[in-house]
Amino acid sequence: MLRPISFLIIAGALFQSGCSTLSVDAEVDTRPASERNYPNGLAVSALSCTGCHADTAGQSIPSLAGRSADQLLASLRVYGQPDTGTTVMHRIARGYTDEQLTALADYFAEQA
Amino acid sequence: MALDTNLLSRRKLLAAIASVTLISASDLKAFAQTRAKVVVIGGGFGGATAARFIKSYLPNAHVTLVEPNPIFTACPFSNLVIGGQRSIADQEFGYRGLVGDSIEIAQALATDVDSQARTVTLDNGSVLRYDRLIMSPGISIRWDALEGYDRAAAELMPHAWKAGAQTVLLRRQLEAMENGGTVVMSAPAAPFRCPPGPYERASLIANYLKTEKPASKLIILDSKDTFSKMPLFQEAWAEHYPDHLEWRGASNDGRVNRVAADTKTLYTDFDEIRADVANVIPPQKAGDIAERAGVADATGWCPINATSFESTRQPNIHVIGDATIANPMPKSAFSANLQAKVCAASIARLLSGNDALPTTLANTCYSFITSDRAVSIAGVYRNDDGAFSSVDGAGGISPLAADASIREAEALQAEDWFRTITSEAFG
Repeated sequence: MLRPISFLIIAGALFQSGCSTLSVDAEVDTRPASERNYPNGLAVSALSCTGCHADTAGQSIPSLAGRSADQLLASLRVYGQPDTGTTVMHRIARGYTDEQLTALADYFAEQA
Repeated sequence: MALDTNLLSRRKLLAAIASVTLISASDLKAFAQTRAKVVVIGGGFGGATAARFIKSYLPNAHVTLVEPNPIFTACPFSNLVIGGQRSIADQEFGYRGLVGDSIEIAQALATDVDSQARTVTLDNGSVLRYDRLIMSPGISIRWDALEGYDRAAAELMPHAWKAGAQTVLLRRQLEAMENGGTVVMSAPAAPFRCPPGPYERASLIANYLKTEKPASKLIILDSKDTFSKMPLFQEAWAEHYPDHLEWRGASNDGRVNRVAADTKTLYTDFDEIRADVANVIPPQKAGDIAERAGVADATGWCPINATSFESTRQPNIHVIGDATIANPMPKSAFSANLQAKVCAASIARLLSGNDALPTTLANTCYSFITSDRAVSIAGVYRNDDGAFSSVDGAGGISPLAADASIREAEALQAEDWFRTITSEAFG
C-alpha cells in the first residue's frame, strides 16, 4: 500500500512528463525481469573479486574477465588446496565450495 | 495540471494512466520503482561506490551523493605519506567520474535525516527526498573519550585518522623533529577504523627514523594486548626496527588515559611519557549524522541487517562501511567498497520487487612493513539470515618467516588493489 505522499510523487512524476506518453515509454524497462540490470546471485558473489581484479591487468594482479573458464577454475582449485601458499588467494579460495568456484569461473569467462 | 489524487483510488489512477499510455499496470509499477530516488550520504569508499553501482543497476534511478568536500583524501596508503614514500596528492580523488555517471553531487553537509518523512536536510537549507537512503558516514572522533584530547589538542598531537590536513601535519612534525627525538603513538581499544592501521603506520614511522633520524625512537602505547596481524608486525619489527620501535600493550601499562597537548605528554596509569611528536589515535564512533538519523545504537556504531544492509533501527535506511557493526568483517576500505556493491545490489533487487540475497563476501587488507614490503590479512564471510559469520577454514594472515620476495610481491599486489578500488569508487 502506497502512502499518500509517495502516491503524489508517482502521479506527479508521470504527469509531469506530460500526459504525452512518449517520454514515459522511453523510460519504462520493458525487458522481462530476468534481463533487467539488477544482479542475480552469481553476479553478487562476484563483487568480492572485482575489488582487486580490474578489467585490465595490474602489475601483479591479473584481470579475470574473458579468460577461459577452464583456466580460471584450474587456478582457483589450486588456490583452494589446503597446503600453504603465499598470496591472499590461497586464504580466500578455501572459503568457497567447488560448485561456487566453478560458477565464478564461468561468470568471469563470460565477461568479455 | 491539477489532479486531486485524494479523490481517486490508486487502482483507478493506475488504470487511467495505463490506458492513456498503452502500458500495463505492472510495467507502470516497475517504472515507478526503477525511477526511485536514492540518496547517498558520504563520498568515501563506501558512498562513492554505492552511488555508482546503484546507477549502474538502476539507470533510471535518481541518485544524489551528499558530500561536503569536493576532494576525497583516501586513508589507505596514507601511512606511506607519513613515512615519506608518497605525496598527499596521490591520495586525492574527485567526483568527476560520478558526475559523468549522471549522479548528482550535493556538495553540502547532511545535518538531519527524517526517517518518517524520508528526507535528508542539508546545511545549505535544501531538503532531499528519498525512497532509499544509503548512509556511509565513516567515523567521528569521540572528543569526550580521552581526557585532554579535543579539537585544539589534535592540532598539536595529530590523530591523522582521517586523511588530509592531519596526515600532512603529522608528516611535517616528523620532518621537523630533531634526530634523537621521541615519537609516541597511542592506539585505541577496538573497535576502530582500520584495525592494522596503527601498526602499519608505526612500521613506516620507524622506517623513516631508522633511515633519516637514527638516534630517534617510536614508542607505541596500546590500549590492547593483541592486534591485527600481530605476529607479522612483531616479526617485522624485530627484524627491521629493533632499535627504533617499542610497543607497550595494555597489561604493560600501555593504555593512555589522559594527554596534555601543551607539553605533548601522554599519561598511563603509572607513567607519563613526554613526546617530541605525538600521534594520538583516539576512540571513535560512527560519523555524526548516524546519531542524528537514529541508526547508531548506544555503542556509537550502527547495527544492520547483514543481508540487505538495512538499519535494524530505521526503515529504508541502509548503512555501510566503517560506521556499521559488521564484525567479523573489519572496518576497512575493502569492506566498505564491497558492502556498498552488495548493498546496491540489494536495493536494486528490493526496488524491483525481489528479496535481498545472501552471498559470500571477502576482505583483503595489505599493510606495509617497510617502504617496499607488505603483509596481508584476508577473510571470507557469509551474510545469511541478516547476520555476518566467518567461513570456517578460510582467511588468515601472510606466512610467517617468509622470504623478502613474498613481502615484496604483496607490496606490488597492494598497489594494484589501491588502483582498482579507487577506480571502482571514483571512476
